[in-house]
Amino acid sequence: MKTGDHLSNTEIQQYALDGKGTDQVLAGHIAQCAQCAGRVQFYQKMARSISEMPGETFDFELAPLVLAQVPARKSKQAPELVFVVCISLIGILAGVGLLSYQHAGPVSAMLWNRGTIVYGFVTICGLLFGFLAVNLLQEYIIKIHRLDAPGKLQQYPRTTV
Amino acid sequence: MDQKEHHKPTDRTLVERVLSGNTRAFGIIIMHTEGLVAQIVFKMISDREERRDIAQDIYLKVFQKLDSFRFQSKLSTWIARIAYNTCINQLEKNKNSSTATYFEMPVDDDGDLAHEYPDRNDIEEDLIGAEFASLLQSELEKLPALYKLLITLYHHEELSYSEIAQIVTLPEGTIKSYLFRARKMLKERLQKIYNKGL
Repeated sequence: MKTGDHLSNTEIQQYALDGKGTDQVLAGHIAQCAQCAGRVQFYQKMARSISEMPGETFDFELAPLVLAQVPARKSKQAPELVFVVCISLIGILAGVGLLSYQHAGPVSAMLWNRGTIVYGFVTICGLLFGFLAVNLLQEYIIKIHRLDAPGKLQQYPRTTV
Repeated sequence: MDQKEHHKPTDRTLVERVLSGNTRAFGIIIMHTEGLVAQIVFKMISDREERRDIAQDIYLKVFQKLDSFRFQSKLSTWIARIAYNTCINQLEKNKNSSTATYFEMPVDDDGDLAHEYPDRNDIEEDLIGAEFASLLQSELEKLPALYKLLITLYHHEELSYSEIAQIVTLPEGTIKSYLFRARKMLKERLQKIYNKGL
């Protein structure tokens, strides 16, 4: 869009600031027109001056003010730690059980019959399965809660202005 | 890349540290982003005390919502968006003159050269460095708040159209159009002052 014999304001700005500096038509006109060349220089000078302006800064220490108010966040790794501890305990118990079974006398051998071992194994598996199921359910509830939360920030819900 | 830059923790590292209970990492996030947040808050909120409360409110919201950050944008852009939305909410709450100023978007058409150039001299030839910068800053402050903010984010903070669009939740095309208008308005105002003989 041109106004009279000169480039429009939009074209001037596109040429000066918006990566259209290589446009041959615009470049050709600007090379021959002192007025348009002057406008290009003006916009470039304006942009340069704005970029060199000192930035705004708060006149107070923001980080200490905020950190004094943030609640202690519960460690996200707690369930994983509990899981590792449980597995370790089970491993230790199983090892101790196996050793005592191998070196047991006739009395304790009666306690370590096949039924006891199977019962113990099933109980341990059940506990492990229960722990994993509860953990999965908790994670599922948290994720669903996040999806349902109003005003999700990384979507583009509405035009604010 | 210098050694210090090389060891600078990434957004992901910082977020993970905060989520695992390290509040010092949140302090680092604040230090990395408060410049950008300050630009937004200063351009939108004029009252000093209000700015102080809003700045704290912004980062408390960031802390609360950090576990919902999905790294789909830069952390600073995400925080800037929270800052922008918090300022907008505050302006809507206030319902005072600052709200009117913010939403006031002058309609402008492109290119009336006779109006732009009433005389033959170009102002860029006559206004020298410091004088020009001072006048420009003064006129920039008088622009509608959204124009002011867009110009600052684009020219001062050097954000891309896409990043600005994510912050102010407007399409990129609208951002470009508003920026063109804002710069044209600035130019016309400077021209007018110059023609009046400063």
